[in-house]
Order: sequence, then C-alpha cells, then structure tokens
Amino acid sequence: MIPMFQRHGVRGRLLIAFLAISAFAVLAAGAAMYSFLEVGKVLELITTRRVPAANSALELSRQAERIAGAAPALLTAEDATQHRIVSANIASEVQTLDGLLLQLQDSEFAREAQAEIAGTVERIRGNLTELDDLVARKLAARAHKDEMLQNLAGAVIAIQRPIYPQILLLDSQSAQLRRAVNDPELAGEQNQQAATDLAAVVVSLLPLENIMLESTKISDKLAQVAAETKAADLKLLMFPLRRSLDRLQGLAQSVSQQYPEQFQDSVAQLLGFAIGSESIPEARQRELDIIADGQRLLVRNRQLSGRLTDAVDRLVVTANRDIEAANREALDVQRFSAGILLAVVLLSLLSSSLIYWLYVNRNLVGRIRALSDSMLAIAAGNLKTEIPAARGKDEIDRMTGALHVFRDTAVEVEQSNLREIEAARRRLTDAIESISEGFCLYDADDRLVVSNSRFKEMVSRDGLADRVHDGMTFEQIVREFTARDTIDIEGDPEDWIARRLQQHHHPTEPHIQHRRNGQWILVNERRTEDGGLVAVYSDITELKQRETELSAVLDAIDYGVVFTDADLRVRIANRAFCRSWDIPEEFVARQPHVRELFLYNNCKGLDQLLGDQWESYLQSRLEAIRRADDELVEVSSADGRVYLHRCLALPGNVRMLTYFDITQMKQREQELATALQQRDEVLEALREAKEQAEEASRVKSQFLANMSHELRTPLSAIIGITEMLLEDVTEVGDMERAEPLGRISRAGKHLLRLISEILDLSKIEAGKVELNPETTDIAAMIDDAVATSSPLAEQNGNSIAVTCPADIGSMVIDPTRLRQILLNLMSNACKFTHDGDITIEVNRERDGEGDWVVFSVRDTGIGMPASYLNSLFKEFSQADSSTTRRYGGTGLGLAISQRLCQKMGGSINVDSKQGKGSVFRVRLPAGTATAPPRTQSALQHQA
Amino acid sequence: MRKLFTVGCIACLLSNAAVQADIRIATVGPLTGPRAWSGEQFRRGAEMAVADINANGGVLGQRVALIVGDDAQDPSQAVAVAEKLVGDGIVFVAGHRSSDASIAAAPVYADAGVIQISPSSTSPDFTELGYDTVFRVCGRDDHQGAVAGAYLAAHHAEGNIAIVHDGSTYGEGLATQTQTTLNGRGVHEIWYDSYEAGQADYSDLIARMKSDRIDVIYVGGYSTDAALLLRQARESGLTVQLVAGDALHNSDFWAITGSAGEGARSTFDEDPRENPAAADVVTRFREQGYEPEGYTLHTYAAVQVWAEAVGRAATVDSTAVSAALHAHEFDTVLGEISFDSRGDITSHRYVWYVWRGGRYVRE
Repeated sequence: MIPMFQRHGVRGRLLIAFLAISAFAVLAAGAAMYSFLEVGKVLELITTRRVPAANSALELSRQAERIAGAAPALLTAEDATQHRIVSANIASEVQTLDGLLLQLQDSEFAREAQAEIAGTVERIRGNLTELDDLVARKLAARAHKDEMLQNLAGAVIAIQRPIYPQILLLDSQSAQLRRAVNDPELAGEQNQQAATDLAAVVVSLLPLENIMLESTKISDKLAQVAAETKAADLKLLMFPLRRSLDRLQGLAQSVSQQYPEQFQDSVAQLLGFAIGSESIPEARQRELDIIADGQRLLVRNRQLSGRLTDAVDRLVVTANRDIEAANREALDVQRFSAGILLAVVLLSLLSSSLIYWLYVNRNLVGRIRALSDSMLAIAAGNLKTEIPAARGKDEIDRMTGALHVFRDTAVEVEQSNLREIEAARRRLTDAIESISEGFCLYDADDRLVVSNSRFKEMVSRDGLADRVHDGMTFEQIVREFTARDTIDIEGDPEDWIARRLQQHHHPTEPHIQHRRNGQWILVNERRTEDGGLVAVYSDITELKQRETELSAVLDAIDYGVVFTDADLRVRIANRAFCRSWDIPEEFVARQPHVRELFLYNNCKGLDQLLGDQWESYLQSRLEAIRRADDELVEVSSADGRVYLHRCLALPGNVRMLTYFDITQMKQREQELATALQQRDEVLEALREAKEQAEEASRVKSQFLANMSHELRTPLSAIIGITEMLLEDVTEVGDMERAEPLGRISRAGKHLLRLISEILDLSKIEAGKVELNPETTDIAAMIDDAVATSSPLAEQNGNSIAVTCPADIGSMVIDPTRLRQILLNLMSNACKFTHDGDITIEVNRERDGEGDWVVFSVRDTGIGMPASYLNSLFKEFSQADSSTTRRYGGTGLGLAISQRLCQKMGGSINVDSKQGKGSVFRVRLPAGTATAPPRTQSALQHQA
Repeated sequence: MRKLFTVGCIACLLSNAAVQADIRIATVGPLTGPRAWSGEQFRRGAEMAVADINANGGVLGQRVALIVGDDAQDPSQAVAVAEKLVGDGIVFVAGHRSSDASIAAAPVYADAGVIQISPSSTSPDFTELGYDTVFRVCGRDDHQGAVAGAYLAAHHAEGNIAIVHDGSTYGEGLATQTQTTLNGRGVHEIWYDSYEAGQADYSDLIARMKSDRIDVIYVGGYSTDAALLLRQARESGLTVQLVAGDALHNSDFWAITGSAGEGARSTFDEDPRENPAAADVVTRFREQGYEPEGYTLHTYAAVQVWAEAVGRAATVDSTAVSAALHAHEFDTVLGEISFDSRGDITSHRYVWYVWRGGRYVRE
C-alpha cells in the first residue's frame, strides 16, 4: 500500500487509477484524430477536385459518343413525326453535354484540355444543327416526290380510262367477227368480209393495248426510280424509261383523233412526271444528294466525337496521376499515426496491470474475502467466529464494524427466542389439558408423545392407569386395552386389532367404541403434517342414550319415518318404514345412502324403470329430497299401497321423510268418484228424455192447434143452423123435435168450448201465445170476475165474498189472461160447491225476487182427495172421471191456467180436503206498477 | 452562355412540335386493275376531305394523316390490305368499294376497333354482319332492288322480263331483291339467270333473249358487262330495254355502248353534285380538273361523318365513336345523315336516271 494514498477511501483510489488509464486513452485518441484529419485532407483533395473533373470528363466523352450514335437515326427518319422525335432526343443530349462542359469548366483543372474539349463540343453542335436542317430538307423532298407519285397514278388512270372501254369493245367485236369468220352458216363473202373487218379491228386494238402497256410500264419505272438508292442505277433506269415515253408519245399521236384534247394533256402530264426539272427522277436525285450530304455530316460527326474522346482520355489520365500522388501522401500519415497509437496502448496495458496487482488484488480482494468468511460463519449459526479487526477508515473497515454490531445483535435475539418458545409450549400444554375430550399425540414412529389428563382419566376408568404411559407405541396401547377386555369387541380380538391398526394408520371417519364399562367413546384421528397423529376421544354415552330413546319413540309411530344426514345417508329409519317398504332392518341399520334405498326398491321391481329413465327418475327424487320443499306427494309401493310422502328440512341439514298410509282413503275416493260419474250419467239421460218429451209435446200442440181451427169452422155452422131450427120448432111448438135439436145444440156448444180450450192450451204449449202486459187495476179486475161468475154461483145457491185491501193498487199484466184464470177458478168453485161460500181474496207479497200479487179462491165444495192433487193440472183431468159427467167442463181449464201463470212468471197451487173444499192460489209478479195514485203519463211511459 | 441559350431554344421548339403524333385513317378501293378509276374517286374524295379537316385544325387538335390502300376489288387482297392498315395503326377506314371486299375486310377492322364506313358497298349483308364498327353512307340493294322491281311491275307487267346477274354479292343480291319485289307484285319474269363477268361475247345470252322475245332485261352487275351485253344485243337487232343498278353510273358505259346506250335506265342516289351543301367542294374539285362523279362525294362524306363523330365523342376509341355515329345527325356534302342501329343511313331514296346523248339524266 502506497502511504500517500492512505487518506483516500477505496473510491478515491479507484478514481485516481481510472483517471490515469483514461489519460492514456485520450492520448491515443489524439494520435488517431491527427491521422484521421491528415488522411481526410488528402481524400478531400481527391474527391472534391480530381475525381469530379475526371468523372465529368468521362461523362462528357460518353455523351459525345451517344450523340454520335444517335445522329444516324436522325438521317433515317422516315416522316416528320419521327424526325421531330429523334431531333428532340438529340437536342436534349446536346443540352446534357453542355451541362457537363460547364461542370468541367468550374473546376480549375487541366485548362488546356478543357479548351480543346469545349471547341470540339461546339463543332459537334454545329454539325448536328446542319444535319437537322438537312433531314428536314430530305423529308420535304420525299413528300414532294410522294405527292408526284400519287398524281402520277392519277395521270396514268386519266390516260387508261377512256382506252379501257374501247379495248373491251374491240375485244368483243373481234370475238364476234372471229365467230363470223368461222361461221359455216354464213355465205363465203360474208366470211371474207368478217375476216377483213377482224383485221381492221385488230389493227385498231393494237395501239390501244400498247398505250395501256406503255403507260403502265412508265408508271412502274417511275415507281422504281422513286425507290432507287444509288445515283448510278438511277441514271441507268432513265434509258428504258425514255424509250417507253417515246413510244407512248408516238402511240398517243396515232390515236389522237379518236380522243378529246384531255387525253393528250394527260399524256403530256405523264411526260412531265418522267422528264424535266419537276420530274420524279429529278426529285429522287435531289433526295439522294441530300442523303449523301447527310452521310458526310455523319462521318464528320464521328470524327469530332473521336477527337472529343481523345481529349477527355488525356484529362482522365492527368486526374488519375493526381489521385495516386494524394494516396501516397495519405499512406505516410497513416503509418506515423499507427506507431504513436501502438506506444500508447502498451503504456496503458502496463499501468492497468500494476493497478490490479498492487491495489485491487493485494489490498481490496484480501480484506473482502476475510470479511465474507466471517459473515458465512455467522449465517451458519456460529456467532463466536473470528472477525478481522478494522485497520483504517475506508469502506471495508466500516463494513467490518457493521458486522461486529450485527453479530452482537444476533446473540441477543437468539436468547430472547428461546424464552418465547418456552412460553408457547406452556400455553399449548395448558390448552390440551383444558380440552374436555381425551387428547393424544403420536409421533412419526407412532409413539405416544403427549396426552392430557382427561385421556389419562379415561384410561384409569378402564383400570389401565399404570399400564399406559408416554413413549408406548399405539399398537402396544391397543393390545393393553384388548388384553384387559375393556372394549366391546365382536368376533376375534386379533382381527379387531388388525382392523383398528389399519384404521389408525389411515384415519378417515370418526368411529365409535363401546366400552365394557358402558361408556360410548367417539374416536377421531387425524394425521399431522410431520407424519404424527392426533387422536381425540369424546365421551358420547349420553348422546347414545338419547338416540336409543328416539328410536323407541319412532318405532312406536305407525307410519314410516326416515331421518337422513346432509349427505342423504340414512341415520334413523323406524320400524313402520321398514315394514311398509319391506326393507330388512339390518339393511337400514347399516346407515345406507338414500340412493341405495331406491336401488333396493328398484331391484324388487318396485319402480319398474330401466336405464336412463331410472337414472333420471332417481336424480329427480334425490333432488326433491335435497330441496325438501315440504310438499305432499303420493307414492305407491309394489303391493299397491299408497303413501302420502312428505320431506321436511330439519336444522343441521337433516331431512325427515314421512310415509303415511292412505291406501284405504284412496279406495274410498275412487268409489265416490265412480258413484258421482254414475249420477252424472243418469242426469244426462234424464235431461235427454225431458227434451224429447218437450219436443213431442210441442209437436202435439201444434197439431192440435191446427186441427182445432179446422174443426171449429164446421162446428160453428152446425150450432148456428141447429139454433135456427130450434127457434122455428119452438115457435111452432113441436117439442118432440125441439128436444133432440136442443141436445144437438148443447153438445155442439160443449164441443166448441172444448175445441177452443184445446186450441188455447195448444197455443200456449206451442209458444204461440203472446202476452200484452199493461197496467191493470186489481180491484176492478176482481169485481169483474165476481160479476161474471155470480149467475153460476146463484144457480147452485152459493154466495160470493171478496177480500181486497183498499190500497191494492194496480199491476202490470195481460188483463185478458188474468181474467181468464180468475174466471176459470171462480167457475170451478161455483161448479163444485152447492149452497156454500166462495171467497176471493187478493194480497201483495214481497220476497227477494220482487213484488208479487197473490189471488186465492176458496170454496166449501166437495174438495178432492190428496192423491188427485198431483194430476189436477194435467190436461183432461178432473179429480174423478165421473165428475165430468156430473159437473161438465172440458178438464182443460186448470191446465190452461197453470200454463198461463208459468208464462207470466208466476205459479198456481192448490190446497184441498175431500168434503171440506179447496183453495186455489195464484201468485203473479206485480210488474212495476204498485200504488193506486197512478198518473196518465206514468202509464204512457210504461207502454 | 449564348450558345447554351441557342441550344435550349432549339430543344424547346423541337420538343413542343413532337408532343402529338398524327391520327391515321385510310381509304381503300381498287387503285389498279380495270376499275382503278373508281379507286381514284375514293382517293380524291378522301384526300380533299382530309385536307379540309386539317385546314380547320384537324381532329381533337391533331392532324389527320391519310393512307390510301389498294384492294383491286379482290376480297382476298381486301383482307390483306386491311391487316396491313391495322398494323399501321389506323382508327378509321373509308371503304371498301365493292360489297365483296367490304364484307371480307370488315372482321379485320372490327377486331382491331377500326371504324369502317363504306361510301359505296350496297349489299344488305354488309351492315347485317353484326359489327358495331360497320357503317355506310350509300343505300342498300334491297331498297334499290325494291325500287327496280316496283318499276318493272308498274311499267312492264305485260312485257317479257328477264333478270340476270354476274354472281357477285352485289349483282346477285340486287337481282334477287328485284325478282322478289317483282314477284310480290304478281308479275313474273320469263327467266332468271347468271352470266360470267368480263366476257367479250354475250351471243348465247342474246340468242336466248331473242328466242324468248325478251322486252326488258334487268342486269345485276357492273357497267362494262352490261354495256357490252346491251351493245351486242342492239347490234343483233334486239330492241330490249336495259334496267340496272347504281353500277351503271360511270362514263365507261357510254364509251362502250355508244348510241346503243340511249334510253338505258338505272337507279342511283340523287346526284350529290347537285346538293347545295356540296357546291363549294364540287367547285374546288373542278378547279383541280377533276369531275367528282360516282362515289367521290360519298367518300368525302364518309370522312366528314367520322371526323364529326370523333369530335362529339372526344376520343377516337371505336366504341365511343360508334355510339356517337348512331346517336347524332351529321351535316355532310350528301346532306343531313343519321344512322340506324345496323349502320345504314336512315333516310335514303333511290331515283331513276336515264342515259341520253352520252350523259345520265335524272328522270
């Protein structure tokens, strides 16, 4: 350790070391920067001066070549459009060339070569402009020539047009003449003449055909001339052309008289196209001259561009030389800088190694390692380990101090922890002791570790207090218990021990033991996390007693009761349940699941369900029990008994299922239903019979109504005539004949009345009677009835009395019908009473249905036996059939009265005693009219 | 610096001029062969029309360039020349002359989207090919034949009528239509026959006419054949009346018949040279020493309607131009023209001309 750094911390010392290394890096960067700048200077010289110049020159050269290459295309342009396009292309190339030249001139490089290049470019441009003009002229010449060719065609047609029909005509004539010459039917002279004519036709045909031929030939030659590319061949072509022209002129002359002047003009025009300054050959010659000029210009163009390329090449060579020199310079600078860099790198490596070896390794690492060893020891629990002493004030020394403090604190904490553990253990022991159940803890080796005094108490009650102690295995303890026969074991004790051990090693459900001393113990075992086991022993003797009592109570009940726990496992099922469902008590005692009960029933064929159907039925039943909605449900057993089933939820999620036998009740219900149905059927039959009877009655009435009318008409005649005869006979005094006539008259009248009444009754029954209710004064009605029936009463020596309250008032009723009823009753009363009293009485009544008026007619006559009263209101019935003979009458009066009463909404009844007299009571609704003070308007309103 | 300026100016001028190429169109007819004169009518008519259009600023601001094609009135050559012209990039053709050639070339133009307006093909089949690109500014032979048939029925019902044709689409079509109309009017020809075009001697046909006492002969064919037939018939002493179609309308006829042609009659459009709308154009043709007879003005009109339709459509695309042609009316040297859905002109009337003293005269 260097003493001068003693007062700095680790941070300060590391800072100084890094600064030293950085200084070397700065030095190296400086050297590199210097080299970079030097090389850059050289590169700049190359890139900004020499290379652009060389590039421009090369581009210039390429452009010149491109123009030289494009120029021939200008010359071959076939029409104005093509010419314009090529010309525009070349113009833009030339523009590019000029731009390049300007770039080159900007650089101060190779002035001499530049001047030469500029001169050459200028000449190329001049050359191109000349070429462009030339091409324009060439195209103009060609256009002119093409136009002449078109016109040439017109001239040829103008010559041939008039000649062609002539040729056709002459051809046709020659054909005819040829036939005439060879025609054997013609005379020899005619043949001769035809031959002569034929010769003449042929002679005149020849020049015409030649004109056609020569004019076509001239046209063809001129077309050939127009396309000729060599001047020499052009001259050669002119000779045959001239010959043809001469011949055409001659021929035209020979036929001149046949055709108008226009023909000669056409020939002259054709000559003009072939010879002279404006001829097609001249035009073609001019075109060829222009093309030749163009070729010369192209050659010059190539030469100029070659010269330009040479000048540019020289420029490029100069530029390349400059670039090489600059490259060499740059290389020298690079080497020098590389040397400096190497030295600096070596120095910095050396200093780094020194710093590492002297300071980092020997000082820092050594101290930190000692410190970390101590920390590891403390962490492992060795609180008494050696801690290196602090020598100075740097960061490591401060860490050492902190470790001292940490260790001291750790020692203190350890001691306080031990105290707390002791307190916790004590609390646990107290807790276990205070439990009311027996408690045991077995360790992982199944040895008894802890047990509370309650457990010990249980053990001592079994007389094993000195035999069971901590440290014994569970098996040893069990065997102690069995050996003393303290537990109520069924079967072989060894089997039981094996089962118990199995249960102990794999604890699941709590189980119950019955001790010989009468105690019931619930054993609950649970595994602990460290592989040990906790056993809790609860004394449930009292609970067991209650259960037994409950069972006895339930067994005493005569309907089925089942209790299930929350999992629907049967806890208790009473004897009545087992009996009614034919389930063995042993099966229930096993505490099966409700599902098993259902299954047991199903196996017995109780529910007659299979497969999916059974499963869904089962699920719905289980669900209903879980729901326990306290609904009454009827269920049937296999032997046909019916139970009223109910499911109740009790506290603790217990379900109580009850089955109440209602088989007998069901049977009664069934019988009642059958009886009711039978009654309904009878009623229905009755109704039908009644309807039939009513219908028959209606038909009968209809028939009677019709018949009675038919009978009445002749009868009236009989009666009328008989009366007349009787009068005549009476006047004469011939009583012998008067008597039978009187009989006829009486019998006829009786018959007429009978028919009238039958008709009346029939009308009522056929529903043809229409009532015309109106407000009727009751007292007046009674007076009228009494007055009308008083002669009949006097005949038999009867007196009539009337009992009518003064305020009886009026009622709304059909007065005619009311009168008919009252008269009938009165006449009956008079008829069957001799020397007696007849009383007519009227009263008002009121009940829930409204106001009523009751008329009663009482007599003191012969009366009727009770047995007749029932048929009294039937048609043609009098109390005794002999009475008809004695008292007369039709026997229809009461029937009609009853029907009318019913029709008016009332009733009629009779009360009679034989020999004492009868009372007929007519009860009719009062309508709305009541009190006597009635005004006229009210009556109108009623109408 | 001065040089640079000069170069720049040149480049500027050149590039402006090179902006647009010409619109190419063509006219095709027989430029060689015996009917080269009729091709000449096409060339003259089209050239003057193009010159007039360019003098008025061209079409859609572009110059129109004319290519003249020769089909020698041969259907095979017509197809070849059509293919060549399509290769040259034309957008419109005024042609061809004969119905055979026009029908043969039509599919080539239709495939390439080239509008084809024939100045002179009168066969009904031409516009019934079903191409949208096909139009014509002349009449139809079924109309022409109907006019001829009606005339024969009205004037020669009692005479002996013969109908002949040269077997060409034009000739046969015309003859058949004439026959149909004639028969439809209850008049029946003595016979209906064909002859070979280009014969020198028609004596067999004439002998048959003589023996059957033919008074009137209807010829569906070209003028030279009809002329020779007529002349030979007259020379053999027959006073037969010649009736024919529009092909009779050129000077060749009289050149062959001479006075024998007196009284021969034919159907043709009303002579467009007499149309006031054509007066200026006719005057200018005559100043050039050219008589715009036959289908010269029809060709002029064909180019006119195309140029006008392009102006309306604002494009040279054939679909649009075809639609414009169908949709509008056009002022031409033939008068006002519009086209029906097939491409025929909607108002067309054939009238009768009679040869008198070397000229055909409107009856």
